[in-house]
Amino acid sequence: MVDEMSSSNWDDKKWGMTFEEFQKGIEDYANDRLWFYDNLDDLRRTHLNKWVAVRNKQIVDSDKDHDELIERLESGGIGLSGTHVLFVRPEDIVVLY
Amino acid sequence: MPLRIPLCVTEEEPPFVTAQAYWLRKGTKDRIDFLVDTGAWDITISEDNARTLGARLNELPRSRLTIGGIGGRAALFDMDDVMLQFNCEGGKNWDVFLRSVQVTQNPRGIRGRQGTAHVPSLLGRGFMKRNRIVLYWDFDASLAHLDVKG
Repeated sequence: MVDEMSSSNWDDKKWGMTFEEFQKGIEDYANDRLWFYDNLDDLRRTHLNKWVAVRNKQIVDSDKDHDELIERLESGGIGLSGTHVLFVRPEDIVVLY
Repeated sequence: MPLRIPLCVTEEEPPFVTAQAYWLRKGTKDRIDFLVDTGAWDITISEDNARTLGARLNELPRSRLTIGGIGGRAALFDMDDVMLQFNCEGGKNWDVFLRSVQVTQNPRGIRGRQGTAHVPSLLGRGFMKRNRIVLYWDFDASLAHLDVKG
């Protein structure tokens, strides 16, 4: 099923949010990832070789162990939802996708 | 007129797009960043993103497929009934229902030494082909978008 909609026929009840909230949520979440890359040079000085949790353009937690960080986010008050977990790799390592 | 989905471009990774994801089976929702990856055979969801939708791998059936790359192999699991919503230009959105999508298990290294071995959520060729999506990517201008021909 492929469906196209716009703000004019968006159903707040169906999606549990308004169209504006949907758009803002997408934008804010993307901006956090962009913030991480914009500040990667600084983060290399402070969090090199660590996994960092990014939320609202801030590092809210970090750990060398990915799973430890995930567990802490899930069990603590921050939560994994809406949080980016990204790795601060050295400048001389490139990642292939 | 195709729907146009703008992509975010950085120097560090392929363009990405944020989608609102719903796991209809549990009624959960969360946002997911998908790297647009023409090297990936299809769309996949990372284990971390699946977790935020309430899916643990031990609750999902193991896929008949395994993902392989330069970094090694990763197990895949099947997640059914996922809806994605993309924000498009012009105040529109595009919804697509995925009857089944593969979840990629985080490669398990020695605890505490996992390094960069991590598979993000990927938007690959099969998804783009099935949905008649055209990828536009101007490397020099750092601009990219997806056109959904529908």
